[in-house]
Amino acid sequence: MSSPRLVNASLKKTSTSRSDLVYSGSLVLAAGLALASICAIVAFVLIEALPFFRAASWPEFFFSPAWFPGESRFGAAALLVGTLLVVLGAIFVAVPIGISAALALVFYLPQALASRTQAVVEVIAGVPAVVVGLFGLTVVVPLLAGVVPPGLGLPAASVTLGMLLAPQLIVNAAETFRAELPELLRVARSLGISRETVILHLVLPQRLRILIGSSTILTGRAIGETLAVMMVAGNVIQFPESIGSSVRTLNATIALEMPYAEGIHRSALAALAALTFAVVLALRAVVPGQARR
Amino acid sequence: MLDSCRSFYALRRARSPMLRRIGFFASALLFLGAHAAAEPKAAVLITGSSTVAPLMVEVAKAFEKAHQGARVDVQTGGSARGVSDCRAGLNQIGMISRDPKPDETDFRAVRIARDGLAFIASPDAGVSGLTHDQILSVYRGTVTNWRELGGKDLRIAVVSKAEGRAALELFMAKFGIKSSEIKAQAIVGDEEQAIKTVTATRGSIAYLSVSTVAQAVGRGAKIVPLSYNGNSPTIAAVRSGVYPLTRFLHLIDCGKGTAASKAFLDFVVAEAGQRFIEENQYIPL
Repeated sequence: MSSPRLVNASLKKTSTSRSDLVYSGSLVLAAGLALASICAIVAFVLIEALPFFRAASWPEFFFSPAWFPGESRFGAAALLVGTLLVVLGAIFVAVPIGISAALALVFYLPQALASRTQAVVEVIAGVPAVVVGLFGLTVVVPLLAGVVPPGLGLPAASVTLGMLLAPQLIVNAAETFRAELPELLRVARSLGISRETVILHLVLPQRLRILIGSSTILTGRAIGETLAVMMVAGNVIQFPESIGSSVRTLNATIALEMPYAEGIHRSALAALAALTFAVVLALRAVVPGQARR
Repeated sequence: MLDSCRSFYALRRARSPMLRRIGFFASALLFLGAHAAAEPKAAVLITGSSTVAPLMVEVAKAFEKAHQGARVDVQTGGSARGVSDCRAGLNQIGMISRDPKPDETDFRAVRIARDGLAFIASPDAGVSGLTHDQILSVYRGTVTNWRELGGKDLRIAVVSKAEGRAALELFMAKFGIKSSEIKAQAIVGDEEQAIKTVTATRGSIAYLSVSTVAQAVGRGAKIVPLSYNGNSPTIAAVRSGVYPLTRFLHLIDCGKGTAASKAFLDFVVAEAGQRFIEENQYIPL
């Protein structure tokens, strides 16, 4: 999203000097490498999954909740539902926290405090998932055990994943709110419009699409998040019967079973990876993108 | 490799600063790469079961001390990885925490230690032992409260292991239960996750290896080892054969080993290695 002004400036400075040629060449190379490695990963997953796709019973894979590799039963429906529920729950936790914290950072906190808080949030955003997972297991799970025993399950997974996503969401949302903000506030103040009105009627509606776009990217990450969720979700493969039910995600299955999987089981796990890909892609296709305004 | 490294290094005299920078980074990278590739192949790589791995790490340290210049790397990934790596020649020694299957005749399995399947509960369950049938009914989901087993009025949180784990296979074999019959509230992967989950979850029960339980109790983890049919899952009970839920831990050799890996195998089963196994809370043969 570079502004035209910037591009012009850099173009003017460019001559046909060799260093720039090398520079742009290496950039193209790096981009090509990134693309090629993604293609290689997709190809690898599909090739690994091929034996399963050949032998699989498709209706079972998509509609049966019974995943018992030891008994040659590979139903991924409960895993798919589990993944979507955990991510939905995490969004439910992270979005209110993220948006309200970002509003506080941009509109309410004094400048000095806001910039320091933002720095702290950025550090928290970098905390490794396994640390957040451990926090979930030792703090969130015992707290939830009183409400939805035994504590491990959908709520714990949603809260833990939500905590993992919230800091990045705060940073993204604050960034979004801050753009063109000074002019907006100046005009509003001159018209005697309150801060709350500006937020509710101008900032939020105007930035909604961008917020949804950046949330979608985060959702992709949420679907991919494995370890922290695996520590607190309970990981029983079933359609959740109640809100406190134990759930298993697609990626948790891969992480839990891959070390011991052989033959068709291993291939079935690759098929789960392919399914994860498909879910992320479908999500990007359905939700409006960041670029459109 | 080194030639291209040198030619990139020559770029340091290039006129353009960008070219000089690229030359520097590329030559540094290639230099490091060449070094990694030139590393001597004398290292022994051991992969496989996460039950056996911590022990092998300790034995490896002692082996490296006793043999100048020897290097032993241990990586986990489950018994299945131990076998597949061994067949593919990706390791020199594999670790499996089960007996070799009847069709696995293409490698030599060496018994290195015993292990037992122990049941543990969280302290709030108020139970110190269970019978074979009680355990079965807990894992089948027909008994769901600790009160029915002489404990507190608390829901049982059944913890089981993920598909393919050696402890699950041993559990299924000893209890004659299929994985689809197990009604669990939580499924865990490796041994550490089992311990962490039991300490964090009220009224939970889990099964894992006796040696892991001994280690966890030794460092003060809040778990209660449950006696099975009146037999406490202690290392002594496994060793004397009183405790019935036992298995052997093996190292496997697919005939692709080096002199160093053969020396390591000998070291483990010899007296010094066995004494080491005992010191590390595992159970010697």
